[in-house]
Amino acid sequence: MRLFTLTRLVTAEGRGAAGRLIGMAGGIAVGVALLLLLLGAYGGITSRSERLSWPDLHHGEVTQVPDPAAAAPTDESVLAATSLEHFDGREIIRVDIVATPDSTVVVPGVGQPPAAGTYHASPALTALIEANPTDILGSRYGTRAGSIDEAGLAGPDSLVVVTGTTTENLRSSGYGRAGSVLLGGGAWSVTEFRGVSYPSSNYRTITIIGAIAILLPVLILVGIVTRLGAATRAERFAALRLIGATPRRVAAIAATETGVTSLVGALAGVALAWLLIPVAALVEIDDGRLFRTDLTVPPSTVLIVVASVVAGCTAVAGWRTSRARIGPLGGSRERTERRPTALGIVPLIAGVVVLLGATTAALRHTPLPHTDRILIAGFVLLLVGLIAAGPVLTYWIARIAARGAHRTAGVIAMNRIQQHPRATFRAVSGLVAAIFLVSVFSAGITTVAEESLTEDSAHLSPTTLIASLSSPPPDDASAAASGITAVTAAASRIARTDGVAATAIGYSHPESGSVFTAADAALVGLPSPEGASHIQVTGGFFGDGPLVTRPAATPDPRPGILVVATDGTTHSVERARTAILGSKLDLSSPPRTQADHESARLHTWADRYANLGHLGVLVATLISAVSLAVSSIAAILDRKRVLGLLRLMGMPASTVRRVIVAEAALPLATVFALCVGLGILTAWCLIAGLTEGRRTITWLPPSYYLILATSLALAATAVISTFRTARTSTTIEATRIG
Amino acid sequence: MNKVETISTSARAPEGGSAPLLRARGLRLAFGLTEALRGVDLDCHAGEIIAVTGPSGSGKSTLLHVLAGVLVPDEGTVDYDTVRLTDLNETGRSRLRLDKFGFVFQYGQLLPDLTAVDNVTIPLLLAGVKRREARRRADSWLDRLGLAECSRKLPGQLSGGQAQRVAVARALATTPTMLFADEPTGSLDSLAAETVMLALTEAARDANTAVILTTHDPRTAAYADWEVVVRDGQITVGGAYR
Repeated sequence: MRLFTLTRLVTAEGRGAAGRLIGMAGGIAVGVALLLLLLGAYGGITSRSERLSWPDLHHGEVTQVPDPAAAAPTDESVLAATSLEHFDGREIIRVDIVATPDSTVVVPGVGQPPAAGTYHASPALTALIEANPTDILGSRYGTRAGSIDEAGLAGPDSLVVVTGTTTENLRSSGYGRAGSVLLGGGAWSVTEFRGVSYPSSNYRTITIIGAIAILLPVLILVGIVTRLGAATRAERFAALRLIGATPRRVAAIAATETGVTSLVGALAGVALAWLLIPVAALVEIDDGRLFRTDLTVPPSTVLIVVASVVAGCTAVAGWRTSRARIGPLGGSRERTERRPTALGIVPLIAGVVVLLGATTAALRHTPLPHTDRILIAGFVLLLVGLIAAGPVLTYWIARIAARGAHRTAGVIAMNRIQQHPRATFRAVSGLVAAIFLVSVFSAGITTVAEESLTEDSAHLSPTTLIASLSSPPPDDASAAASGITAVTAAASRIARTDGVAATAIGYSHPESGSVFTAADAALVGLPSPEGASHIQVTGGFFGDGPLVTRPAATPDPRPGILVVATDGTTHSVERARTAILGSKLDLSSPPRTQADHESARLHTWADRYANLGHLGVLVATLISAVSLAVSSIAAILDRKRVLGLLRLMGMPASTVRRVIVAEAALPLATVFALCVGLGILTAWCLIAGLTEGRRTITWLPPSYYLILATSLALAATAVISTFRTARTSTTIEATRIG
Repeated sequence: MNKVETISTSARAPEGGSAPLLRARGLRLAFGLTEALRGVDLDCHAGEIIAVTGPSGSGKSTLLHVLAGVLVPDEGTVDYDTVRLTDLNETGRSRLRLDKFGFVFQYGQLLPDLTAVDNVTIPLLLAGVKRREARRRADSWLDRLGLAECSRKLPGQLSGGQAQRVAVARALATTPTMLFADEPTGSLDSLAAETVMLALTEAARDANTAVILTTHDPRTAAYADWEVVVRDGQITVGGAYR
């Protein structure tokens, strides 16, 4: 108890001390809040991946059913098939289920399987259905029987529908991918629907990297704020030593002060995290927004975080104070840092070696075991290596710069950096991490957006629907004939749908592609050579290469594809899609447009990687800017008396400003190019290593330079924001001794 | 040294008819309800050393800061040569302090990250002297003050007396016409105090620099040509040492 009283007397008196403690508690509060949100998001993403992956029927208690029409559900099992539909560029996961009335199978988020002709939709899809005319969307699914709750959805934006159907109408869909969910082709007999923690190791890798990207700046911020006002505190402790306090007692007071402050800060951080959950829930990560409950951290985790932060801060404060060996005259002397050695760059080199080693092995198609983990380790090593190498490089550059310094500010700043390379670099280390991360993520997202929608004479319109039809066996002539009749009739009905411009049936070609009549081809906008009655179309219908057309002989009698041209409006496209889906045609894949295909292609894991990356960079940059401002102020406050006396001697305030700028600019400039270069290298290693060379990175987009400029502008703002404090804290009045 | 003459006026008459370098008249300054200076007059001639003594809280340092243009009095005037210091704005006073005045403080107050020689170069650089020339002059001053071997040391590696002599070198490096020293030996033992005062006064006399210093210590005051005693914000007695 006496220790607490003594600590309060020694540390909590005066406005300056209060400001320092409030700053420290505030920084810890921000750090703890972000840490809790980060832990919440990580746990949320993990549990979400289980929820979102249940429609991937491979994971549950399942057996594939080759012929759904010949199968029947039991009370203990249902027949199910998943497919991917589109609506206005968005993906809808559709799960068709055939179940008995007394089925005991539980559908995640639904419970009892829906009866035939009814459906359960996610709230986002329900809103979409209600906002659009029935013939555009609602009539695809039947009668609404209820909603899918959070247990069966990735997040509040998920578009999922579970429809009850009959054995005859069960669609045996092809394979597809909705976001990170692989949709199993065909029909399955399911006794239990089950999701998995992570659909792929890449997904986990990206999540971990994103978490580290945010965690590091948070730790740097906490480290910086706990050093606030170190010089002022050292003076107070020196006075205590003068009146007889032992070094141990002084260390205990320092630990108590930091412990109590960090406890207050940590508790405030818990409250802040709780308040920020609704805001954080608005951020899209990976497959969309998270539910608020996803971001909630269990009380035990909160307790562990608070206890760890308080214990860590307390221990470090006590250790730092005892190591500082504050004597009775401690306030008048300043300890210089141990000179950094070249050993500091070893982790950086090790990180490069690990990343390049794992990537090279992957590119040779002889990947090392656990390549993903090795790449994560390399990434972490490189990130930590940059922070560790920073002081070494800063020291070397400062030594060279000090020799050439000709102005007062340069001499003061370069010598300061030489004596305190770690403290100086620490001020910008968060920003260094942010620049590294922005380079990694920006280079990473160049793997997408390599191609764009194409609309010219060699391509179909992006709003033309293409549906693949299931082919009857080649030797079954009667099935082929009835197939032609059914498809022709359906095509005629679809052609009468409002907004549909034309339909064309493509017949299977013995070698490749589809055969259309020249008239049909012209109607839907397919390029056709003059004079031919039939044309063979090969190449990509979905923009992956130009369509190639050539004259063809009379086609094979089996219909293989249905092309539906629309007037291009969203309503027309979706009305036509709904008409195709409701036409009872035996589709091997749902109708898609080139635009749907492009949207799905862009929404790859790398795309989600970019979203997470942008979030990480945003948080890291903002925290780093705050850290830089705090560090710059702390560096001035630590020297306020001596700088104030120099101002008394006539040194202008602009010199103090130049000192601040130089002390921030030199370490940042030293590692700037290194951060950018290593960031791009890391991105390439991660992308090429994880995909065994199937993907690579390209030129960085203009947005990267914009983000980089914004980061530097934030840094400049952080530095400029300290000018006022620098001026007021070094006024002559503030430094009067007599 | 023996005090051989005592004068009863607060402001001394001009010496030999020459105009004083620094002339203060009717200085008054209050901090809230506390009157720190209550009508102080003082003259200081070129090359002269004046010790301002008095008990703690008597207003010694406040007087020093007002004379140096650090603080602005509520009433009264300070004239330096032909310039009325009290009419200048902060920028003008800063410029004057940089160009004409030197300062020594109780704890030296050296920049801890700069070597002794770099500390001495700072005012020279501020005055626009080139780095190479500044270092040459700084080395020369450190040499004159017996600190040649310490020039590459950091303040933390110097003794209190050495640090204070570096501060003296820093103050004199720009060859100021006036030097203000606030308790220059306050943190030193008697031997170190003597060394510092010898260095300070000899260098000042060589450069014909006027010095106004505050001190509690009679032995330090004894290095001055004149002593003025401040009590309750007023100069109560003045005396000359020979």
